[in-house]
Amino acid sequence: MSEINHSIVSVENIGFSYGTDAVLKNITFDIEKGDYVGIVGSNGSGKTTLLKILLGLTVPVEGSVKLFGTPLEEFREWNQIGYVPQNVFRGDLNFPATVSEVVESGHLQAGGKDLFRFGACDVVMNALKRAGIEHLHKKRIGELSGGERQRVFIARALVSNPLLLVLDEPTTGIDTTTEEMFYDFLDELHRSGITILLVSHDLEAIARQVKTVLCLNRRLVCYGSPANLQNPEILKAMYGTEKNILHHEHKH
Amino acid sequence: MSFLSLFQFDFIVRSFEAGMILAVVAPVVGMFLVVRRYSLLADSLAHVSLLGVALSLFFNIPIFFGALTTSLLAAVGMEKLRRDGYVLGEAIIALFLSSSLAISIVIMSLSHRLNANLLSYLFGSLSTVSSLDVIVLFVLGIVALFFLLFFYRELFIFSLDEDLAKVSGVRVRLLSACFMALAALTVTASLQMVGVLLIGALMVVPVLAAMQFHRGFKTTLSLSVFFSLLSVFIGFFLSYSFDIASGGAIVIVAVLFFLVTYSFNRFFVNFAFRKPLN
Repeated sequence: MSEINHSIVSVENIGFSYGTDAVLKNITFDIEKGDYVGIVGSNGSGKTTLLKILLGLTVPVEGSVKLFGTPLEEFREWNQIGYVPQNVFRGDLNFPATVSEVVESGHLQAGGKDLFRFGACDVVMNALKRAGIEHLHKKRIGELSGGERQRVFIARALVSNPLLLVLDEPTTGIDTTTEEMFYDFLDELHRSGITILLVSHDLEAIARQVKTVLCLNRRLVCYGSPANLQNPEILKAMYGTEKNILHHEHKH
Repeated sequence: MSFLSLFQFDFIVRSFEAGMILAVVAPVVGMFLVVRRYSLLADSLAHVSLLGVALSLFFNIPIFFGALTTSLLAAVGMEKLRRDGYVLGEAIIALFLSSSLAISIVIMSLSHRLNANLLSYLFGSLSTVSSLDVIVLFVLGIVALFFLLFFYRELFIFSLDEDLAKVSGVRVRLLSACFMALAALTVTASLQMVGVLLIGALMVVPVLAAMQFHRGFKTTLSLSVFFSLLSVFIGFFLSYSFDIASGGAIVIVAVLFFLVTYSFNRFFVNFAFRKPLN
């Protein structure tokens, strides 16, 4: 693949509304290669809607999105994007799938030849190893803990060697220790060259982890250094009330 | 009469071939319906097919053509309503199921001569299978298996999570439309053999029995086909040995398999081998 010399994600003047209720207005930003961006905001600030627009799951009312320099409507290189949705199982733990099968489904380019293969192939094992869960490959997905399941879906996202990893509230429902290990793992991935876009309501974790924050409250409040999250005016613009971040130990 | 001696009759060979093909295709399509929580779709499409049969008899057009057209139209309509999101998924199925049955009943009451013909489609009969039916089923089986072979991964992700499928580059609308068409075709082709009231069971019950083993997707799919083949085989034998309705016999055997696997799972796997709580 040729060296990318344009933004990985380019958003220009995006707007979205449900009827007359404007959910997003005039959102413009670029994500460059190697960046680690955290989208933060209160409930109803438009975080998930923005993410869905970026991934082509929701069509904006106005504005445009480019992925890897290509307008979203013409973009076909989906293997360059690894997506980890929030609560993918929606509580159905009886879904009959092993960890290997879920991870393998992220490797669409191989076509349908794998129908008759019951074990995990090398590509899948490598992705599982990278996510530190190769020992779980035969387990059924419904048997895993929340943290393990998140890693399975990250392994699934990694199996196609993506340049951009997109995660929607990845730490929802997992305990603090697992959460810390999870963020360390994301750090490792970022250091290996993957651009990361993360949506979270957890301000402290975002302030600690990312290189760039995108603060949202239906409009773009700020886009820049995580130090912005120390600014009371920005926090007030995001949440409407005073809010403090207790521990901010930035890693970058 | 021994079981093997039954095969000296052409109509029995035909019905056995048809039953075996159906035993492979029905759970393959049914598996994706079950995991998408769309199990009743087959029942709904079967009732719509009955409307197609009624219309075909009323207007004197080929029955397969009429039943397939109505079930395809219904499949497209149901998918459209589901995507629009204004009506709940299960309610859409109920809407199509009851409205098509209502129209069928009205047509039956308008033309009393249809009653006997139409009622034969409610329960089906393997003994009425023609050579053409076997050919149609064979073609359907090939189409269904090739569809599965080429789009297995896409169907798998689509069943797991639709958004995930879209972001993986799957053309979800096209895939969904093709799958619904395949479901409609399967239901229509098996209508005469298993009947409107039982086709849904043949597509769903072997899958439920296989799911009790708590295995992966491919293993569950293989076990579904295995239980389905066994159900058709044993049901076919019982049907001719005791002169009972083939559709009913097949589905009862499938339900028995489910009960056995469910009980085994509940009492042996969950109970006998579970570590005691300290």
